Amino acid sequence: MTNPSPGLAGGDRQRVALGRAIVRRPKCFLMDEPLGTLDAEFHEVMVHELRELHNRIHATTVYVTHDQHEAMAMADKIAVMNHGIIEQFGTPQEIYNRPASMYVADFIGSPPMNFLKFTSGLQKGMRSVSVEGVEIALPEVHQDMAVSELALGVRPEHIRFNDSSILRGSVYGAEYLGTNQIVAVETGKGLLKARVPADRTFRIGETVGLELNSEKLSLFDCTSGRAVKSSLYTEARHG
Amino acid sequence: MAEVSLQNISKSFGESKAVRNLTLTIRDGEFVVLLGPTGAGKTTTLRLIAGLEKPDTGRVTIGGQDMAGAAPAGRDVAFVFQQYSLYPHLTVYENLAFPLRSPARRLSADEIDRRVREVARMVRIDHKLENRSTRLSGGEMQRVAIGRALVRKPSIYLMDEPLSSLDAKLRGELRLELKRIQSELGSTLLYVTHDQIEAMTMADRIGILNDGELIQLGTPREIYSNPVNLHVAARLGQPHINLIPEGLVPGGQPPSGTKTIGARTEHLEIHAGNGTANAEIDWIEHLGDQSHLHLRIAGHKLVTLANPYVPVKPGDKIKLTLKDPLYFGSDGQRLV
Ligand SMILES: Nc1ncnc2c1ncn2[C@@H]1O[C@H](COP(=O)(O)OP(=O)(O)O)[C@@H](O)[C@H]1O
Ligand SMILES: [Mg+2]
Repeated sequence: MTNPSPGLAGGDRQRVALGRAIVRRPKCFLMDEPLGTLDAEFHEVMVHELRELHNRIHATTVYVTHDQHEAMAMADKIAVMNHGIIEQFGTPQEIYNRPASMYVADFIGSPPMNFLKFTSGLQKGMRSVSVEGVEIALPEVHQDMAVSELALGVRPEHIRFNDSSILRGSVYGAEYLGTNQIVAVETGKGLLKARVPADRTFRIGETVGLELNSEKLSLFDCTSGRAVKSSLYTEARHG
Repeated sequence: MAEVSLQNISKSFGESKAVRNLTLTIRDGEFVVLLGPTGAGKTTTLRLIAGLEKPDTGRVTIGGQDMAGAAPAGRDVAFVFQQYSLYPHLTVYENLAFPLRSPARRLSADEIDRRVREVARMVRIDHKLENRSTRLSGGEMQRVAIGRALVRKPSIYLMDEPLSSLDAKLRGELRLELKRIQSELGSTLLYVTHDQIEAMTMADRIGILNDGELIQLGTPREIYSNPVNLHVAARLGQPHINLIPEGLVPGGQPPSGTKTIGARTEHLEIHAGNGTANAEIDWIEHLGDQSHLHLRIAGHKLVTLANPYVPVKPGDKIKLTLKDPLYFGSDGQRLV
Protein backbone atom coordinates (compact mmCIF):
# COMPACT_ATOMS: atom_id res chain seq x y z
CA MET A 1 0.00 0.00 0.00
CA THR A 2 2.90 2.35 0.71
CA ASN A 3 4.68 1.70 -2.59
CA PRO A 4 3.13 3.68 -5.39
CA SER A 5 2.81 1.20 -8.25
CA PRO A 6 3.45 2.27 -11.83
CA GLY A 7 -0.29 1.69 -12.41
CA LEU A 8 -1.09 4.22 -9.71
CA ALA A 9 1.23 6.78 -11.23
CA GLY A 10 -0.58 6.37 -14.56
CA GLY A 11 -3.91 6.66 -12.80
CA ASP A 12 -2.83 9.82 -11.02
CA ARG A 13 -1.76 11.37 -14.29
CA GLN A 14 -5.20 10.66 -15.75
CA ARG A 15 -6.84 12.06 -12.61
CA VAL A 16 -4.96 15.31 -13.02
CA ALA A 17 -6.01 15.54 -16.67
CA LEU A 18 -9.62 14.93 -15.68
CA GLY A 19 -9.46 17.46 -12.87
CA ARG A 20 -8.21 20.05 -15.31
CA ALA A 21 -11.13 19.29 -17.62
CA ILE A 22 -13.68 19.45 -14.79
CA VAL A 23 -12.66 22.79 -13.27
CA ARG A 24 -13.53 24.45 -16.56
CA ARG A 25 -17.17 23.40 -16.00
CA PRO A 26 -17.81 22.64 -19.64
CA LYS A 27 -21.27 21.73 -20.97
CA CYS A 28 -19.94 18.54 -22.46
CA PHE A 29 -16.99 16.19 -21.95
CA LEU A 30 -15.41 14.46 -24.92
CA MET A 31 -13.22 11.57 -23.82
CA ASP A 32 -11.03 9.61 -26.19
CA GLU A 33 -9.96 6.28 -24.60
CA PRO A 34 -8.66 7.99 -21.44
CA LEU A 35 -8.03 4.66 -19.66
CA GLY A 36 -6.35 2.88 -22.55
CA THR A 37 -2.95 2.41 -20.98
CA LEU A 38 -3.74 1.36 -17.40
CA ASP A 39 -3.12 -2.05 -15.74
CA ALA A 40 -6.21 -4.24 -15.49
CA GLU A 41 -6.55 -3.88 -11.74
CA PHE A 42 -6.30 -0.12 -11.71
CA HIS A 43 -8.43 0.15 -14.77
CA GLU A 44 -11.48 -1.05 -12.83
CA VAL A 45 -10.91 1.54 -10.11
CA MET A 46 -10.81 4.34 -12.68
CA VAL A 47 -13.92 3.09 -14.47
CA HIS A 48 -15.78 3.33 -11.17
CA GLU A 49 -14.35 6.76 -10.38
CA LEU A 50 -15.35 8.15 -13.76
CA ARG A 51 -18.91 6.88 -13.47
CA GLU A 52 -19.23 8.19 -9.91
CA LEU A 53 -17.94 11.53 -11.07
CA HIS A 54 -20.66 11.54 -13.71
CA ASN A 55 -23.25 10.58 -11.08
CA ARG A 56 -22.22 13.70 -9.13
CA ILE A 57 -21.90 16.34 -11.84
CA HIS A 58 -24.18 14.95 -14.59
CA ALA A 59 -22.27 16.63 -17.40
CA THR A 60 -23.15 15.34 -20.86
CA THR A 61 -20.31 13.01 -21.80
CA VAL A 62 -19.34 11.36 -25.06
CA TYR A 63 -16.73 8.70 -24.41
CA VAL A 64 -15.14 6.64 -27.15
CA THR A 65 -13.42 3.32 -26.54
CA HIS A 66 -12.60 -0.01 -28.17
CA ASP A 67 -13.14 -1.72 -24.81
CA GLN A 68 -16.64 -3.17 -24.58
CA HIS A 69 -16.30 -3.60 -20.82
CA GLU A 70 -15.69 0.13 -20.30
CA ALA A 71 -18.72 0.93 -22.42
CA MET A 72 -21.00 -1.50 -20.57
CA ALA A 73 -19.74 -0.38 -17.16
CA MET A 74 -20.09 3.38 -17.62
CA ALA A 75 -22.63 4.26 -20.29
CA ASP A 76 -26.25 5.31 -20.03
CA LYS A 77 -26.39 4.57 -23.74
CA ILE A 78 -23.93 2.93 -26.10
CA ALA A 79 -23.55 3.49 -29.84
CA VAL A 80 -21.78 0.44 -31.27
CA MET A 81 -19.82 1.56 -34.32
CA ASN A 82 -18.50 -0.56 -37.16
CA HIS A 83 -16.59 1.06 -40.04
CA GLY A 84 -18.06 4.48 -39.33
CA ILE A 85 -21.66 3.22 -39.13
CA ILE A 86 -23.72 3.00 -35.95
CA GLU A 87 -24.87 -0.62 -35.78
CA GLN A 88 -27.00 -0.09 -32.68
CA PHE A 89 -27.77 2.68 -30.20
CA GLY A 90 -29.33 1.75 -26.87
CA THR A 91 -28.84 1.14 -23.17
CA PRO A 92 -26.23 -1.43 -22.16
CA GLN A 93 -29.01 -3.89 -21.26
CA GLU A 94 -30.77 -3.48 -24.62
CA ILE A 95 -27.56 -3.94 -26.51
CA TYR A 96 -26.55 -6.96 -24.49
CA ASN A 97 -29.91 -8.68 -24.36
CA ARG A 98 -31.21 -7.77 -27.82
CA PRO A 99 -28.24 -7.21 -30.13
CA ALA A 100 -29.38 -5.83 -33.49
CA SER A 101 -26.68 -7.63 -35.46
CA MET A 102 -24.14 -10.43 -35.24
CA TYR A 103 -21.42 -7.80 -35.14
CA VAL A 104 -22.89 -6.25 -31.98
CA ALA A 105 -23.57 -9.66 -30.41
CA ASP A 106 -19.95 -10.67 -30.96
CA PHE A 107 -18.41 -7.36 -29.94
CA ILE A 108 -20.30 -6.96 -26.63
CA GLY A 109 -19.84 -9.58 -23.93
CA SER A 110 -16.88 -11.59 -22.72
CA PRO A 111 -16.86 -14.28 -23.84
CA PRO A 112 -19.07 -13.11 -26.70
CA MET A 113 -22.40 -14.55 -27.79
CA ASN A 114 -22.23 -18.09 -29.18
CA PHE A 115 -23.62 -18.70 -32.68
CA LEU A 116 -25.08 -22.02 -33.83
CA LYS A 117 -25.36 -21.89 -37.60
CA PHE A 118 -28.03 -23.80 -39.51
CA THR A 119 -30.12 -23.55 -42.67
CA SER A 120 -33.87 -23.10 -42.54
CA GLY A 121 -36.84 -21.07 -43.70
CA LEU A 122 -38.91 -19.08 -41.19
CA GLN A 123 -42.61 -18.36 -40.85
CA LYS A 124 -44.28 -15.86 -38.57
CA GLY A 125 -45.47 -17.51 -35.38
CA MET A 126 -42.77 -20.21 -35.29
CA ARG A 127 -41.72 -21.03 -31.73
CA SER A 128 -38.89 -23.41 -32.41
CA VAL A 129 -36.23 -24.21 -34.98
CA SER A 130 -34.47 -27.44 -35.86
CA VAL A 131 -30.69 -27.29 -35.54
CA GLU A 132 -29.04 -30.53 -36.76
CA GLY A 133 -32.18 -32.49 -35.91
CA VAL A 134 -32.43 -30.99 -32.43
CA GLU A 135 -35.62 -28.98 -31.92
CA ILE A 136 -34.81 -25.78 -30.00
CA ALA A 137 -37.57 -23.54 -28.61
CA LEU A 138 -37.11 -19.79 -29.01
CA PRO A 139 -39.06 -16.51 -28.70
CA GLU A 140 -41.89 -16.31 -31.27
CA VAL A 141 -40.60 -15.44 -34.74
CA HIS A 142 -42.28 -12.31 -36.22
CA GLN A 143 -40.92 -12.49 -39.75
CA ASP A 144 -41.19 -14.76 -42.79
CA MET A 145 -38.00 -15.75 -44.52
CA ALA A 146 -37.09 -18.04 -47.43
CA VAL A 147 -34.65 -20.86 -46.73
CA SER A 148 -31.35 -19.23 -45.77
CA GLU A 149 -28.29 -19.43 -43.57
CA LEU A 150 -29.30 -18.58 -40.01
CA ALA A 151 -27.52 -18.40 -36.67
CA LEU A 152 -29.03 -19.00 -33.28
CA GLY A 153 -27.40 -16.63 -30.78
CA VAL A 154 -26.97 -17.67 -27.15
CA ARG A 155 -25.11 -15.87 -24.37
CA PRO A 156 -22.74 -18.03 -22.26
CA GLU A 157 -24.85 -17.58 -19.11
CA HIS A 158 -27.93 -18.87 -20.94
CA ILE A 159 -26.47 -22.34 -21.37
CA ARG A 160 -26.97 -24.89 -18.59
CA PHE A 161 -25.67 -28.41 -18.21
CA ASN A 162 -28.35 -31.05 -18.27
CA ASP A 163 -27.37 -34.66 -18.84
CA SER A 164 -30.76 -35.53 -20.33
CA SER A 165 -30.52 -32.87 -23.07
CA ILE A 166 -30.09 -34.18 -26.61
CA LEU A 167 -27.80 -31.29 -27.55
CA ARG A 168 -24.49 -32.85 -26.58
CA GLY A 169 -20.80 -32.12 -26.68
CA SER A 170 -17.49 -32.86 -25.01
CA VAL A 171 -15.67 -30.55 -22.61
CA TYR A 172 -12.79 -28.77 -24.37
CA GLY A 173 -11.59 -26.73 -21.41
CA ALA A 174 -12.79 -25.01 -18.25
CA GLU A 175 -11.73 -21.60 -17.02
CA TYR A 176 -12.15 -21.00 -13.31
CA LEU A 177 -13.01 -17.38 -12.44
CA GLY A 178 -13.77 -17.54 -8.72
CA THR A 179 -17.50 -16.92 -8.49
CA ASN A 180 -18.17 -18.70 -11.77
CA GLN A 181 -16.36 -20.49 -14.57
CA ILE A 182 -16.42 -20.60 -18.35
CA VAL A 183 -16.71 -24.10 -19.78
CA ALA A 184 -15.91 -24.55 -23.49
CA VAL A 185 -17.75 -27.46 -25.07
CA GLU A 186 -16.99 -28.94 -28.49
CA THR A 187 -20.23 -29.69 -30.32
CA GLY A 188 -21.19 -30.63 -33.87
CA LYS A 189 -21.86 -26.90 -34.31
CA GLY A 190 -18.45 -25.71 -33.12
CA LEU A 191 -17.16 -24.58 -29.75
CA LEU A 192 -19.79 -23.24 -27.34
CA LYS A 193 -18.87 -21.40 -24.15
CA ALA A 194 -21.08 -21.60 -21.09
CA ARG A 195 -20.85 -19.53 -17.92
CA VAL A 196 -21.81 -21.68 -14.93
CA PRO A 197 -21.27 -21.65 -11.14
CA ALA A 198 -17.74 -22.59 -10.08
CA ASP A 199 -18.73 -25.38 -7.70
CA ARG A 200 -18.72 -28.21 -10.24
CA THR A 201 -15.43 -29.35 -11.76
CA PHE A 202 -15.19 -30.65 -15.33
CA ARG A 203 -12.78 -33.11 -16.95
CA ILE A 204 -11.47 -32.41 -20.44
CA GLY A 205 -13.19 -34.83 -22.81
CA GLU A 206 -16.18 -35.42 -20.51
CA THR A 207 -19.51 -35.70 -22.39
CA VAL A 208 -22.15 -33.19 -21.33
CA GLY A 209 -25.71 -32.28 -22.35
CA LEU A 210 -26.49 -28.62 -22.99
CA GLU A 211 -29.77 -26.85 -22.41
CA LEU A 212 -30.39 -23.38 -23.81
CA ASN A 213 -32.55 -20.80 -22.05
CA SER A 214 -35.21 -20.47 -24.76
CA GLU A 215 -36.60 -17.11 -23.65
CA LYS A 216 -33.28 -15.38 -24.21
CA LEU A 217 -32.26 -16.69 -27.63
CA SER A 218 -31.60 -14.41 -30.60
CA LEU A 219 -31.81 -15.43 -34.23
CA PHE A 220 -29.77 -13.86 -37.04
CA ASP A 221 -29.81 -13.87 -40.80
CA CYS A 222 -26.19 -14.74 -41.63
CA THR A 223 -26.33 -13.04 -45.05
CA SER A 224 -27.21 -9.58 -43.76
CA GLY A 225 -25.96 -10.19 -40.23
CA ARG A 226 -29.17 -8.58 -38.86
CA ALA A 227 -31.33 -9.98 -36.07
CA VAL A 228 -34.58 -11.68 -37.08
CA LYS A 229 -37.67 -10.01 -35.58
CA SER A 230 -39.06 -11.98 -32.66
CA SER A 231 -41.09 -11.46 -29.51
CA LEU A 232 -37.85 -10.97 -27.59
CA TYR A 233 -37.10 -7.90 -29.69
CA THR A 234 -40.59 -6.42 -30.16
CA GLU A 235 -41.78 -6.78 -26.55
CA ALA A 236 -38.84 -4.75 -25.47
CA ARG A 237 -39.62 -1.93 -27.86
CA HIS A 238 -43.14 -1.55 -26.49
CA GLY A 239 -42.41 -2.24 -22.83
CA MET B 1 9.65 -32.95 -19.42
CA ALA B 2 11.05 -32.74 -15.91
CA GLU B 3 10.56 -31.40 -12.42
CA VAL B 4 12.19 -28.02 -11.91
CA SER B 5 13.11 -26.77 -8.51
CA LEU B 6 14.34 -23.48 -7.06
CA GLN B 7 15.87 -23.61 -3.60
CA ASN B 8 16.43 -20.46 -1.55
CA ILE B 9 17.21 -18.37 -4.61
CA SER B 10 18.13 -14.72 -4.13
CA LYS B 11 19.18 -12.23 -6.76
CA SER B 12 19.99 -8.53 -6.43
CA PHE B 13 20.88 -5.90 -8.99
CA GLY B 14 22.95 -3.38 -7.05
CA GLU B 15 20.73 -2.16 -4.23
CA SER B 16 17.57 -3.62 -5.71
CA LYS B 17 16.55 -7.08 -4.52
CA ALA B 18 14.75 -8.66 -7.47
CA VAL B 19 14.22 -12.14 -5.95
CA ARG B 20 14.23 -12.90 -2.23
CA ASN B 21 14.88 -16.39 -0.91
CA LEU B 22 12.55 -18.04 -3.39
CA THR B 23 11.79 -21.74 -2.98
CA LEU B 24 9.47 -23.33 -5.52
CA THR B 25 9.09 -26.73 -7.16
CA ILE B 26 7.29 -27.08 -10.48
CA ARG B 27 6.26 -30.72 -10.72
CA ASP B 28 6.75 -32.76 -13.84
CA GLY B 29 3.79 -31.98 -16.13
CA GLU B 30 2.54 -29.09 -14.02
CA PHE B 31 1.36 -25.62 -15.19
CA VAL B 32 2.47 -23.06 -12.59
CA VAL B 33 1.67 -19.36 -12.95
CA LEU B 34 3.55 -16.70 -10.98
CA LEU B 35 1.25 -13.69 -10.54
CA GLY B 36 2.62 -10.32 -9.55
CA PRO B 37 2.69 -6.65 -10.55
CA THR B 38 5.43 -5.04 -12.64
CA GLY B 39 8.73 -5.21 -10.77
CA ALA B 40 7.74 -8.25 -8.67
CA GLY B 41 10.67 -10.30 -10.00
CA LYS B 42 8.81 -12.48 -12.52
CA THR B 43 11.15 -12.06 -15.47
CA THR B 44 14.21 -12.39 -13.26
CA THR B 45 12.90 -15.71 -11.92
CA LEU B 46 12.52 -17.09 -15.46
CA ARG B 47 15.96 -15.81 -16.44
CA LEU B 48 17.49 -17.52 -13.41
CA ILE B 49 16.00 -20.85 -14.47
CA ALA B 50 17.13 -20.36 -18.06
CA GLY B 51 20.66 -19.54 -16.90
CA LEU B 52 20.53 -15.99 -18.30
CA GLU B 53 21.15 -14.72 -14.77
CA LYS B 54 23.26 -16.27 -12.00
CA PRO B 55 21.69 -16.45 -8.52
CA ASP B 56 23.56 -14.73 -5.66
CA THR B 57 22.56 -17.63 -3.42
CA GLY B 58 20.55 -20.83 -3.74
CA ARG B 59 20.30 -23.41 -6.49
CA VAL B 60 18.26 -24.39 -9.50
CA THR B 61 17.74 -28.05 -10.35
CA ILE B 62 16.17 -29.45 -13.51
CA GLY B 63 15.21 -33.13 -13.41
CA GLY B 64 17.15 -33.43 -10.16
CA GLN B 65 20.41 -32.07 -11.68
CA ASP B 66 22.09 -29.03 -10.19
CA MET B 67 22.33 -26.36 -12.91
CA ALA B 68 25.03 -24.26 -11.23
CA GLY B 69 27.65 -25.04 -13.86
CA ALA B 70 25.29 -25.32 -16.86
CA ALA B 71 25.26 -22.68 -19.61
CA PRO B 72 21.85 -21.57 -20.99
CA ALA B 73 22.22 -23.78 -24.06
CA GLY B 74 22.87 -26.81 -21.86
CA ARG B 75 19.73 -26.38 -19.78
CA ASP B 76 17.12 -27.66 -22.21
CA VAL B 77 14.52 -24.95 -21.56
CA ALA B 78 12.32 -23.14 -24.10
CA PHE B 79 11.64 -19.46 -23.42
CA VAL B 80 8.74 -17.44 -24.87
CA PHE B 81 9.43 -13.75 -24.44
CA GLN B 82 6.93 -10.99 -23.80
CA GLN B 83 7.56 -9.39 -27.19
CA TYR B 84 7.57 -11.78 -30.11
CA SER B 85 10.98 -12.39 -31.49
CA LEU B 86 10.49 -14.01 -34.89
CA TYR B 87 12.91 -14.03 -37.81
CA PRO B 88 11.19 -11.47 -40.06
CA HIS B 89 12.77 -12.68 -43.32
CA LEU B 90 11.66 -16.28 -42.75
CA THR B 91 8.28 -17.87 -43.42
CA VAL B 92 6.12 -19.17 -40.60
CA TYR B 93 7.25 -22.69 -41.53
CA GLU B 94 10.93 -21.79 -41.32
CA ASN B 95 10.43 -19.92 -38.05
CA LEU B 96 8.87 -23.02 -36.55
CA ALA B 97 11.51 -25.35 -38.02
CA PHE B 98 14.46 -23.21 -36.93
CA PRO B 99 14.87 -24.58 -33.39
CA LEU B 100 14.88 -28.13 -34.83
CA ARG B 101 17.55 -27.53 -37.46
CA SER B 102 20.54 -27.27 -35.14
CA PRO B 103 23.04 -29.96 -36.18
CA ALA B 104 23.24 -31.20 -32.59
CA ARG B 105 19.64 -32.41 -32.82
CA ARG B 106 20.26 -34.58 -35.87
CA LEU B 107 16.59 -34.73 -36.84
CA SER B 108 15.63 -35.99 -40.28
CA ALA B 109 13.85 -33.63 -42.69
CA ASP B 110 10.74 -35.80 -42.40
CA GLU B 111 10.78 -35.66 -38.64
CA ILE B 112 11.16 -31.85 -38.70
CA ASP B 113 8.33 -31.50 -41.21
CA ARG B 114 6.05 -33.72 -39.12
CA ARG B 115 6.69 -31.72 -35.94
CA VAL B 116 6.30 -28.33 -37.60
CA ARG B 117 2.94 -29.28 -39.09
CA GLU B 118 1.71 -30.85 -35.88
CA VAL B 119 2.55 -27.76 -33.81
CA ALA B 120 1.22 -25.38 -36.48
CA ARG B 121 -2.12 -27.17 -36.20
CA MET B 122 -2.05 -26.93 -32.41
CA VAL B 123 -1.53 -23.18 -32.41
CA ARG B 124 -3.87 -22.81 -35.43
CA ILE B 125 -1.43 -21.21 -37.80
CA ASP B 126 -1.28 -24.16 -40.27
CA HIS B 127 -3.11 -22.16 -42.95
CA LYS B 128 -0.31 -19.56 -43.02
CA LEU B 129 2.81 -21.73 -43.06
CA GLU B 130 4.16 -20.15 -46.26
CA ASN B 131 3.55 -16.52 -45.16
CA ARG B 132 6.44 -14.26 -44.22
CA SER B 133 6.23 -13.61 -40.50
CA THR B 134 6.03 -9.85 -41.12
CA ARG B 135 2.73 -10.41 -42.93
CA LEU B 136 1.02 -11.71 -39.79
CA SER B 137 -1.23 -9.96 -37.28
CA GLY B 138 -0.01 -9.54 -33.71
CA GLY B 139 -2.03 -12.52 -32.56
CA GLU B 140 -0.66 -14.72 -35.32
CA MET B 141 2.93 -13.69 -34.58
CA GLN B 142 2.45 -14.61 -30.94
CA ARG B 143 1.01 -18.00 -31.98
CA VAL B 144 4.15 -18.61 -34.01
CA ALA B 145 6.34 -17.51 -31.09
CA ILE B 146 4.55 -19.99 -28.81
CA GLY B 147 4.69 -22.64 -31.55
CA ARG B 148 8.43 -22.17 -31.89
CA ALA B 149 8.82 -23.12 -28.24
CA LEU B 150 6.42 -26.05 -28.59
CA VAL B 151 8.25 -27.76 -31.50
CA ARG B 152 10.98 -28.60 -29.05
CA LYS B 153 10.41 -31.00 -26.22
CA PRO B 154 12.41 -29.31 -23.48
CA SER B 155 12.44 -30.02 -19.75
CA ILE B 156 10.36 -26.92 -19.14
CA TYR B 157 8.65 -24.11 -21.02
CA LEU B 158 9.21 -20.65 -19.57
CA MET B 159 6.68 -18.06 -20.70
CA ASP B 160 6.94 -14.35 -19.89
CA GLU B 161 3.55 -12.63 -20.27
CA PRO B 162 3.17 -14.03 -23.79
CA LEU B 163 -0.42 -12.78 -24.22
CA SER B 164 -0.12 -9.30 -22.75
CA SER B 165 0.26 -7.48 -26.07
CA LEU B 166 -2.89 -9.02 -27.58
CA ASP B 167 -6.45 -7.72 -27.55
CA ALA B 168 -8.96 -9.11 -25.06
CA LYS B 169 -10.74 -11.49 -27.44
CA LEU B 170 -7.62 -13.10 -28.76
CA ARG B 171 -6.19 -13.36 -25.27
CA GLY B 172 -9.29 -15.27 -24.23
CA GLU B 173 -8.94 -17.70 -27.13
CA LEU B 174 -5.23 -18.30 -26.68
CA ARG B 175 -5.64 -18.86 -22.93
CA LEU B 176 -7.94 -21.75 -23.60
CA GLU B 177 -5.66 -23.14 -26.35
CA LEU B 178 -2.49 -22.91 -24.32
CA LYS B 179 -3.98 -24.72 -21.33
CA ARG B 180 -5.38 -27.37 -23.65
CA ILE B 181 -2.05 -27.89 -25.46
CA GLN B 182 -0.13 -28.05 -22.20
CA SER B 183 -2.38 -30.73 -20.77
CA GLU B 184 -2.33 -32.70 -24.03
CA LEU B 185 1.47 -32.65 -24.15
CA GLY B 186 1.85 -33.12 -20.39
CA SER B 187 4.40 -30.30 -20.43
CA THR B 188 6.01 -28.68 -17.45
CA LEU B 189 5.29 -24.97 -17.79
CA LEU B 190 6.16 -21.91 -15.73
CA TYR B 191 4.18 -18.88 -16.90
CA VAL B 192 4.44 -15.40 -15.40
CA THR B 193 1.88 -12.62 -15.68
CA HIS B 194 0.32 -9.62 -13.96
CA ASP B 195 -3.15 -10.68 -15.18
CA GLN B 196 -5.22 -12.45 -12.53
CA ILE B 197 -7.58 -13.94 -15.12
CA GLU B 198 -4.71 -15.69 -16.89
CA ALA B 199 -3.51 -17.05 -13.58
CA MET B 200 -6.92 -18.26 -12.43
CA THR B 201 -7.91 -19.85 -15.71
CA MET B 202 -4.72 -21.66 -16.72
CA ALA B 203 -2.76 -22.57 -13.61
CA ASP B 204 -2.66 -25.90 -11.82
CA ARG B 205 -1.05 -23.84 -9.06
CA ILE B 206 -0.60 -20.09 -8.70
CA GLY B 207 2.33 -18.49 -6.90
CA ILE B 208 1.64 -14.96 -5.65
CA LEU B 209 4.83 -12.96 -6.06
CA ASN B 210 5.38 -9.55 -4.52
CA ASP B 211 8.61 -7.62 -4.23
CA GLY B 212 10.65 -10.69 -5.11
CA GLU B 213 8.99 -12.81 -2.47
CA LEU B 214 6.67 -15.81 -2.92
CA ILE B 215 3.74 -15.03 -0.62
CA GLN B 216 1.46 -18.00 -1.28
CA LEU B 217 1.41 -21.04 -3.53
CA GLY B 218 -1.74 -23.05 -4.18
CA THR B 219 -4.47 -24.06 -6.63
CA PRO B 220 -6.58 -21.19 -8.00
CA ARG B 221 -9.44 -22.31 -5.76
CA GLU B 222 -7.19 -22.34 -2.67
CA ILE B 223 -5.75 -18.91 -3.40
CA TYR B 224 -9.18 -17.43 -4.10
CA SER B 225 -10.97 -19.01 -1.13
CA ASN B 226 -8.15 -19.13 1.40
CA PRO B 227 -5.76 -16.22 0.93
CA VAL B 228 -3.11 -16.08 3.65
CA ASN B 229 -3.15 -12.30 3.92
CA LEU B 230 -4.74 -9.08 2.66
CA HIS B 231 -2.29 -8.75 -0.19
CA VAL B 232 -3.24 -12.14 -1.67
CA ALA B 233 -6.96 -11.54 -1.09
CA ALA B 234 -6.76 -8.36 -3.11
CA ARG B 235 -4.95 -10.01 -6.05
CA LEU B 236 -7.81 -12.30 -7.13
CA GLY B 237 -11.48 -11.73 -7.79
CA GLN B 238 -13.66 -9.44 -9.89
CA PRO B 239 -15.09 -7.23 -8.63
CA HIS B 240 -12.23 -6.53 -6.26
CA ILE B 241 -12.74 -7.94 -2.73
CA ASN B 242 -14.32 -5.42 -0.32
CA LEU B 243 -11.97 -4.69 2.56
CA ILE B 244 -13.98 -3.14 5.37
CA PRO B 245 -13.39 -2.41 9.06
CA GLU B 246 -14.63 -4.94 11.59
CA GLY B 247 -18.05 -3.95 12.96
CA LEU B 248 -19.29 -2.12 9.87
CA VAL B 249 -21.56 -4.87 8.56
CA PRO B 250 -23.44 -7.22 10.95
CA GLY B 251 -23.11 -11.01 10.80
CA GLY B 252 -20.18 -13.38 10.83
CA GLN B 253 -18.12 -14.34 13.86
CA PRO B 254 -14.90 -12.34 13.85
CA PRO B 255 -12.18 -14.00 15.94
CA SER B 256 -10.53 -11.74 18.52
CA GLY B 257 -7.94 -9.44 16.99
CA THR B 258 -9.92 -8.95 13.76
CA LYS B 259 -9.23 -5.55 12.25
CA THR B 260 -10.32 -5.93 8.65
CA ILE B 261 -13.00 -8.03 7.02
CA GLY B 262 -12.67 -9.25 3.47
CA ALA B 263 -16.06 -9.66 1.80
CA ARG B 264 -16.51 -10.97 -1.72
CA THR B 265 -19.91 -11.36 -3.37
CA GLU B 266 -20.30 -14.84 -1.88
CA HIS B 267 -19.80 -13.37 1.63
CA LEU B 268 -22.51 -10.71 1.37
CA GLU B 269 -26.26 -11.20 1.73
CA ILE B 270 -28.75 -8.58 0.62
CA HIS B 271 -32.23 -8.52 2.15
CA ALA B 272 -35.16 -6.15 1.70
CA GLY B 273 -34.77 -3.12 4.00
CA ASN B 274 -38.18 -3.06 5.73
CA GLY B 275 -37.18 -0.59 8.44
CA THR B 276 -33.95 -2.42 9.33
CA ALA B 277 -31.96 -1.12 6.37
CA ASN B 278 -28.30 -0.35 6.98
CA ALA B 279 -27.17 0.29 3.40
CA GLU B 280 -28.25 1.97 0.20
CA ILE B 281 -27.83 1.12 -3.49
CA ASP B 282 -25.60 3.87 -4.84
CA TRP B 283 -25.53 2.91 -8.52
CA ILE B 284 -25.66 -0.18 -10.68
CA GLU B 285 -23.22 -1.21 -13.35
CA HIS B 286 -25.02 -3.39 -15.92
CA LEU B 287 -22.42 -5.63 -17.43
CA GLY B 288 -24.88 -7.82 -19.31
CA ASP B 289 -24.26 -11.26 -17.85
CA GLN B 290 -24.27 -9.79 -14.37
CA SER B 291 -24.50 -6.47 -12.58
CA HIS B 292 -22.16 -4.81 -10.12
CA LEU B 293 -24.16 -3.27 -7.30
CA HIS B 294 -22.38 -0.30 -5.78
CA LEU B 295 -23.52 -0.01 -2.16
CA ARG B 296 -22.98 2.63 0.46
CA ILE B 297 -22.89 1.77 4.15
CA ALA B 298 -21.94 4.33 6.82
CA GLY B 299 -19.70 6.26 4.47
CA HIS B 300 -18.02 3.12 3.04
CA LYS B 301 -18.41 1.92 -0.53
CA LEU B 302 -18.86 -1.76 -1.38
CA VAL B 303 -19.24 -3.54 -4.70
CA THR B 304 -20.98 -6.87 -5.13
CA LEU B 305 -22.19 -8.97 -8.06
CA ALA B 306 -25.86 -9.53 -8.68
CA ASN B 307 -27.95 -11.37 -11.17
CA PRO B 308 -29.07 -8.76 -13.75
CA TYR B 309 -32.71 -9.61 -13.10
CA VAL B 310 -32.57 -8.74 -9.38
CA PRO B 311 -35.16 -5.95 -8.97
CA VAL B 312 -33.21 -3.16 -7.26
CA LYS B 313 -32.57 0.42 -8.29
CA PRO B 314 -30.35 3.27 -7.16
CA GLY B 315 -31.58 4.82 -3.91
CA ASP B 316 -33.13 1.56 -2.63
CA LYS B 317 -32.51 0.94 1.07
CA ILE B 318 -31.41 -2.61 1.84
CA LYS B 319 -30.18 -4.72 4.71
CA LEU B 320 -26.68 -6.06 4.25
CA THR B 321 -25.23 -8.90 6.32
CA LEU B 322 -22.06 -10.99 6.25
CA LYS B 323 -21.87 -14.73 5.67
CA ASP B 324 -18.57 -16.43 6.59
CA PRO B 325 -16.32 -13.63 5.31
CA LEU B 326 -12.51 -13.56 5.58
CA TYR B 327 -10.96 -12.07 8.74
CA PHE B 328 -7.61 -10.29 8.95
CA GLY B 329 -5.60 -9.03 11.92
CA SER B 330 -3.90 -5.65 12.22
CA ASP B 331 -0.77 -7.11 10.60
CA GLY B 332 -2.83 -8.04 7.53
CA GLN B 333 -2.52 -11.78 8.16
CA ARG B 334 -5.56 -13.98 7.82
CA LEU B 335 -7.24 -15.11 11.06
CA VAL B 336 -9.09 -18.42 11.00
N1 LIG C 1 19.29 -6.21 -15.46
C1 LIG C 1 18.81 -5.50 -14.43
N2 LIG C 1 19.50 -4.49 -13.88
C2 LIG C 1 19.01 -3.79 -12.83
N3 LIG C 1 17.84 -4.03 -12.24
C3 LIG C 1 17.09 -5.03 -12.72
C4 LIG C 1 17.53 -5.81 -13.85
N4 LIG C 1 16.56 -6.73 -14.11
C5 LIG C 1 15.58 -6.52 -13.21
N5 LIG C 1 15.88 -5.51 -12.37
C6 LIG C 1 15.07 -5.03 -11.25
O1 LIG C 1 14.62 -6.15 -10.51
C7 LIG C 1 13.27 -6.01 -10.11
C8 LIG C 1 12.44 -7.13 -10.69
O2 LIG C 1 12.39 -7.00 -12.09
P1 LIG C 1 11.67 -8.04 -13.06
O3 LIG C 1 12.14 -9.41 -12.73
O4 LIG C 1 11.88 -7.57 -14.44
O5 LIG C 1 10.15 -7.88 -12.63
P2 LIG C 1 8.80 -8.24 -13.41
O6 LIG C 1 9.16 -9.13 -14.56
O7 LIG C 1 7.96 -8.89 -12.39
O8 LIG C 1 8.22 -6.94 -13.85
C9 LIG C 1 12.84 -4.63 -10.60
O9 LIG C 1 12.97 -3.74 -9.54
C10 LIG C 1 13.81 -4.34 -11.70
O10 LIG C 1 14.01 -2.95 -11.84
MG1 LIG D 1 8.74 -8.84 -16.65
